[in-house]
Parts: sequence; structure tokens; C-alpha cells
Amino acid sequence: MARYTPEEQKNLEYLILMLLGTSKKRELSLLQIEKEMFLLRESAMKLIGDYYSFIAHYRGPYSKEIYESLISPLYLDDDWIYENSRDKLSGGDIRLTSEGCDNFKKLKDEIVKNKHKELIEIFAAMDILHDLYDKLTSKELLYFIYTSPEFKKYITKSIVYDEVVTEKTKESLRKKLAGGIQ
Amino acid sequence: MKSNIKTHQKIVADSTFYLLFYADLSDCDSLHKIIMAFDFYVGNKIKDELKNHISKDDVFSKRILDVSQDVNFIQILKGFYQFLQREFPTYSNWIKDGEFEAIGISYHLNRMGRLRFLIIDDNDARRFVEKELNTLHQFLIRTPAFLCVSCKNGHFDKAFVVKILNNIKVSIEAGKSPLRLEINGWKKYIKPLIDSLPEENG
Repeated sequence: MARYTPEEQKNLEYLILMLLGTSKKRELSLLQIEKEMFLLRESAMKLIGDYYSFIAHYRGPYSKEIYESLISPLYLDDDWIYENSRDKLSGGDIRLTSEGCDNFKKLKDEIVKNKHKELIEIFAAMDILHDLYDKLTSKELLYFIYTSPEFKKYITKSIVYDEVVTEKTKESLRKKLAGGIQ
Repeated sequence: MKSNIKTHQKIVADSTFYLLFYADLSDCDSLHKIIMAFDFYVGNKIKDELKNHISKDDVFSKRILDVSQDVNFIQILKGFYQFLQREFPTYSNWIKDGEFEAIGISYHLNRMGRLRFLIIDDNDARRFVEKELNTLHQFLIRTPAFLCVSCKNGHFDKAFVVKILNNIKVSIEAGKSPLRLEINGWKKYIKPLIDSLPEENG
């Protein structure tokens, strides 16, 4: 993270705090955080484009800055904990601690009180991302990324493409997303 | 008017709501009365879809609140909807950018704790909100139901609301498709709403 200033690193960690704090369970898998932060960046380039970047990697778009901030945060080091998982796709879970919940609440109240327009927009975007993607399994989320033409350049190094983009994953998505639609 | 209620309830509506008054009913006075009673928010896409009408409407320009956004909410929502369309043939119909924009503005206002209603009449856009956007489900309403709720809450008198709802029928009979309704839809959906409105005292 050497190319990042302390301010940028702090901002990135606060963005992660916001993403975790806005999720219903205050807990997301590493893969969910990475991909939702990716989708957030794509739509809010002007606001947060400089905070972190993505490259093509084994499981699609990957950000070293986000990964390192999640595993070893420099500033918010008591705000979340990492729990390893046997699920090789999810990469483990990140859960807000009680201190993280308190810090998130303070941050949220301050942002709303001060009517900080850009950050309220970021909150709103995170709410949408949670509604759309938190319900997906790791495989389903990757299926979405892998089959979206606009993200093609990020899947060139994938080692799980054949495992993810299958009729079985599509069928589970159909049941979840298109089930009951007449 | 039933009362002089001053309200700052925040409402987001897609272009179909405004076009009902501009194009289908040719009734700007009613639209003006409604937008004076609430705070209505629009973005550039919705304004673009209404440009032929609002360019001549000073009340709209003065009263409606503009929302400019640095986050591209349309991109987030449309990206997911396009995925549904690619993968599942049941999502064959298109949703307009103005509808995605209205949804994005609603999330924004909701974060500020101010959203009261998201008015959407298009069935595909409603289905998208109902199925995929859990946060907004509770705010979603159709134009006729919005008018009836506003009547019951004292924002408009019964005669005003009934006149609009009956004029929707007149418009259908004249060959238009207000709110994309046909006469059977009016009988099935709007007539019971009219019947549900309480009689006014005095």
C-alpha cells in the first residue's frame, strides 16, 4: 500500500466500515466486499476512483488495497474481524465488532447531520448493492460478474470460471431472481 | 381543499406520473395542486423525458426539486437488470432510464430519512422494485393509490381525487392509455379505489 497516502488509506478503511455497517447482518464475505466495492467504484469513479483499484485475478476483479485493508487495517484495526472459511470462493467472512458498530453509527449520524451529499450518495449506492447482491452465494455473485460483458477484462486470469459459469449456477439464480415471475 | 396542511413529505415519481396530467388528461392545474402539496424530486433523465411539457410549465420549474448525483445509480441498477434480461427470458421488457433514476433518487432520500412515496405505475419497473429492492418496497405506490391515500390523509378533498380518477376513464374511452391502463384495468383497479374513499363531512 506504499503508493497510498495515510489519508487515502483511512478513507478506504472508512468506506469498508460503511459497506459493512450498511449491510443487514453487519457481516459480509471477503468476496462480497471485494465485488461490491468493485461495483461501487465503477459507478462512483468521480468520488472514490482514486481510493483503490482493480486488476484481473484468480477470482475476477481483485483489489490488493482492499484485501490488505480487510486483513490488516491500519486505522480501524478494532472495527472488524476476519474469520477464515473452508469455502475457497468466499475467502472467509468479515464481521463488524461492537466497536465497529459504534464507530459506524457515529459516522452515519455525522454524515446525515451535516448533510454530506456525496457520502449520503455512497450510503444509498451501498444500500442498492446490498439489496441486489447480498442474497447471492459466492458462485452466483461471480456468475454475474463473469457473464457481464462490461467486466470481461477482469476475468482473463480466472481459475474458477468453469466451476462458476455453469447451468447449475444459472438455475439457482433463476430460482432466486426470476422465480415466481409470470 | 379539506385543510391547510403544510407538508414536506418527499416524493419521487417517474415520468409516467407527470405525463398522466400533461399528455393524457391535459390537466396541468391538478398536477400543480399536487406538486404544491408535497416536495417532488426529479433528476435529469426524468426531466429529459418530460422536456416537451415542462419547458412551458413555470410552476413545475419553480416547485419541483432537482437532484444532481455524483454516483451513477442508473448504472448500478441497469447493470443488474440487463443481467436479468440476458439470462432470463421472463425479463423481456425494458425499463426506462427515468425509472431507474427515480429508484436511485429514492434510495438517496431514504438515506436522509425523508422518503414518503416512490410513485411508479409501470408493471416491469414495479416488479423489479418488489422482487429485488427490498429497501424501497414499503414506499412503492401507484398514482391512483397515491391520490387516494393523500385524500384519506387530508391533503386533497374527495371531489378533486375522484375527478382525476374519473378523467382517467374518460381518457381511456377517448383512445388513450393513461398509466398504460385499459378500461378493464380501470374497472378492476381504479373503480374500487373510488368506492373506498370515505364520504366527506359537512
